[in-house]
Amino acid sequence: MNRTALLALTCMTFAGCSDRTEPGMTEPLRLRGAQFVPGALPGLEAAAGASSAPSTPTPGPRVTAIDLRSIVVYQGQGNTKLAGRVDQKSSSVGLTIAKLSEGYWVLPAGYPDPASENELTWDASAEFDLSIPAGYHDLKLVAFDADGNTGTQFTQRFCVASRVPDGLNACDPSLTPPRAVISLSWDTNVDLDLEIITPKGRVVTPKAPSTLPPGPDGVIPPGAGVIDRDSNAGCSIDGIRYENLVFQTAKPSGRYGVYVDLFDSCQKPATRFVASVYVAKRQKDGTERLEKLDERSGILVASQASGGTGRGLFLFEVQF
Amino acid sequence: MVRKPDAPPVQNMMNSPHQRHLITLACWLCAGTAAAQTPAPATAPADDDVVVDAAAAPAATAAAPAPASAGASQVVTPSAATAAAASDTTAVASQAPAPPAPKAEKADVPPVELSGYVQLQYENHQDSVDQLRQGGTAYNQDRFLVKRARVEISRRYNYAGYFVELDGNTSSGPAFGLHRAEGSLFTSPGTSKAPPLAELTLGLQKLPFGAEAPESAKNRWFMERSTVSRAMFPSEVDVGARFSGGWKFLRYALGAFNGEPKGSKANAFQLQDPNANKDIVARFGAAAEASDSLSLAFGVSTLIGKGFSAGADATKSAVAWRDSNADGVVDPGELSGNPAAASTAAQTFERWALGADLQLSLKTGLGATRLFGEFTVANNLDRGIYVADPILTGADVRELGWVAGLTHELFNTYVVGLRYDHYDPNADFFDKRGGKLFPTAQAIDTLALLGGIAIKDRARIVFEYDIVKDHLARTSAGIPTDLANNSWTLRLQVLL
Repeated sequence: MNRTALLALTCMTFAGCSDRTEPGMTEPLRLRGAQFVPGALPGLEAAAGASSAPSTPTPGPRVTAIDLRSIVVYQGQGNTKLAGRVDQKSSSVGLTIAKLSEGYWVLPAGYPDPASENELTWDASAEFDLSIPAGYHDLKLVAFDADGNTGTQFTQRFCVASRVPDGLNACDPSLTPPRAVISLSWDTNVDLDLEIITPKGRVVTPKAPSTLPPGPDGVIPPGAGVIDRDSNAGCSIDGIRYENLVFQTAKPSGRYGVYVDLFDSCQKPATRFVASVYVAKRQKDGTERLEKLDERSGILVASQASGGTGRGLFLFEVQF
Repeated sequence: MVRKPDAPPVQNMMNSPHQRHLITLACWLCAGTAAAQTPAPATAPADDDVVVDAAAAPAATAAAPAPASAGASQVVTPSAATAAAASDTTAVASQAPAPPAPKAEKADVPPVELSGYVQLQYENHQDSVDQLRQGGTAYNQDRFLVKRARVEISRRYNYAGYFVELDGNTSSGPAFGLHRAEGSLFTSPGTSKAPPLAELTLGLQKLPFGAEAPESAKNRWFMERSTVSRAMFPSEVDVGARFSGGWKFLRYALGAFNGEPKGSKANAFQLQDPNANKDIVARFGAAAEASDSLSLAFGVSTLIGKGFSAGADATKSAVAWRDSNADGVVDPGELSGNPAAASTAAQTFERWALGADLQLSLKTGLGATRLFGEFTVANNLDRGIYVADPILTGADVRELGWVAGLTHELFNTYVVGLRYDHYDPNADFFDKRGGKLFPTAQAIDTLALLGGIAIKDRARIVFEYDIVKDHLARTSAGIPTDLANNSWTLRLQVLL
C-alpha cells in the first residue's frame, strides 16, 4: 500500500512539473493581452521576398492588411501599435518573427471595418526585445477560422534599427553611418553616465555632451562628437540604458579615455555595463558599416555611486 | 438540569464577588436568559477556530468550584432576577468535575488559554516562470512558504471573554500582524458543540457566512478554502459586531460588519470602511447528533450590503507626447495638451449573497467520514479574484459557486479526501471575437485530491493536488480555453 501511495504521489508530482505554461516573456516579439503558443506558425508559407499577401486568394481565412505605422523599429522599443485586418471568415490572427521566435502570438479578431468591406480588425501593443539583431526581419501573420484552420501566411518585412546610432545604416546600407561611436549600455535601471576624456583633456559627459566647446553663438561646431542622451537621468527611468558619443561627420583622432560613472544607483544593488567602440569601415560593395573596434564590460555596485563628484571608473583608452 | 450530589452549597457561589458581578451583567444583557443554559466548563467559544489544546482542557474547568471570597468589595443589590440567575449559575458551575484549582490562580478565574499552530509548505505551480510581471510581482510560485504561524490567546469568564489571534506568514514576504481580536459577552461560556444561548461579539472576527468561511484553517484538511469562498471573502475576517448562539440543535448568527474584509482587493480600505453602510451577514441553521456515530449540520446564509467604487482624483494639466510614427523623435502634431480633469465622485452599489451549506459526519469502525457541500449565489460581491465593480462596468455582476467534498480519516491516522468546486465570477460575460459578442464562461473548476498522515492533536503532513480548469488561455482560433495551471502542495502542520 505504501508503494502504491508513493507511486501515485510521484506521478502527480511529475504531472505538476511537466507541460508548464509558457507566457512568452523571453520572446523577441511580445504582444500584450495576446496568447503565446509555442511552436511554428501554422499555415502555408508565403512567397519569400517583399511584403506580401497571397497573390491568389486561398480558401482558408486570410490576413488582408497590416499597419505597422513605421517599418523601422528600434531594439527594445515598447508600446508599439500593431494593427491590421483579416477577412470575415477569420476568428483570430497569429503573429511571429520568422527565424527568431519560438512560437507565435494569437489575437482574437475584433470589430468589422465598414471602410474595408467589413473586414475584421485587430490591434495589439507590441514590444521588440533589445536582443533582436539590427537589420531586416520578416513579421509573419496567419489568420485562423473558428475551427482553427489556417490559410496562407502573410509576410511583412520590417527593419530593426540598432540602439547604437548608425544613421539607419543597418536598414539601408546606402546611408552613411557616423564616423565613430563610443557606446555605453547597461542592464539595470540606474543612472549611469558615459565619460570621455578627449586628447585635449576636455571631459565629455551627458551634462557637457560635446567634445568641442560651443562657438560664440552657442552652436556646437561641426565635426564634434556629441553624447546623444542622458539615460535614466536623476533616476527618472526611461529604460533605454544606452548612451553614445557619436562622431557624425569627422573621424576623431588621438587617444580618448573612456570612463563610466555611476551617478546614482537608484536603489539598485549593482549594474553590469558594456562599453564599445565602433568605427565606420568601407565594405566590398562600396557601402560603409559600423564595425566594433573594442569592447570592455564590468560591474558597478551601489556603494560606488558618485553623485557626480569626481571622475568615474577608468575603463580603457582608444586610439583613433 | 441535573445537579451533582457533591455540588458546593449555593451560598459559596453567591459569595464569589466575580459571580455576583457577572450576574448583574447577565441581567443587563438578556434579563435572566441564563436560566435556560446548558452548563458547561469555560472552554473555547463557539467559533471553530478556537480549539483548546487537549493539555489545556482540564485547567479550563478549574473555575468550577468557587470558594467564598471574603475580601469582596463589590456590593450587589439582591433582586428576584439576580437571585434566580445566581441560583442557576451555581448549578452551572456545579456540573463540572472538581479538580484541584491551580495554586497560582484564584479558583474562580479561568486561566488564559494559549494555543496555536504553524503551517509550513512547499508549493509547485504549473504556470510558474522565472520572470516578473509588469509591476514587479513574481510569476514563479514554486517555493517554500510559511503559510500560517498563528498564536491564539483567549480567556472565557462566565459572562465575558476575549480572543486574540496573531498571524505570521511569508506569502508576500515576511509579515506578522493581528488576525482576530474579539471581545464577547455571553450567557454562558459554551462549547463548540453547545454554544451559549446568546453571545455578543465585537471586534475583528470571522464572518458568519456559510460553513467554509468560519472554519479554522487549523481544522480544515484541504489547503485553502474553495475558489468561490476566497472570491467572496478574501480572508475570513472583518471588523464588526455579531450576535450569535444556539438553543438545543438550532444555531444562529447575525452580524453587522464594515464590509471590507482583510485581503480585499476591491479598494484600498481593507478592514476600514469608506461608506457608512454596514454589511449585514447572517446564518441560521442547525447542528444535531442523530446518534453516537452520525451528526448533521446545515444552514442558510445571507449577506446584504453596499460596495464602494472609489471614483478618481482630479488631475493637473499636462503635456503628452504620442510617438505616432514610432520614430522616437518629437514631430509636429505629436505633442498634445491634456487639460486638467475634474475628480470623479465615488459611488456605492448594492451587493448581496445567499448561501446554503450542509455537513454530514459519520463515525465507523474504519474512521470518521465527513461529507460537505455549500452553494452560493451573489451579486457584485467578488472582492478577491475578479473584483466586481458595477459602477465601472455599467452592469451588475452575477456570481455563482458551489463546492462539494469528502474526507475520510482512517484510524485517526491517515486521511484521504477530494473536493470539487465551481465558481463562475460573471454569469453575463461576453467574449469579443470576429466583431461579435459570444456568451462565454469565465468559470473556474478545481478538483482537489488529498492524502495525509496525522498524529492526533499534534501534527499532520498533507499532500494536495489541484487540477484547475479555467478559461484563461486562448486556442489558436482565439477561443478561451484552459490555462495549464495545476498545482500541488505538501504541508506540515504542527500544533503549539
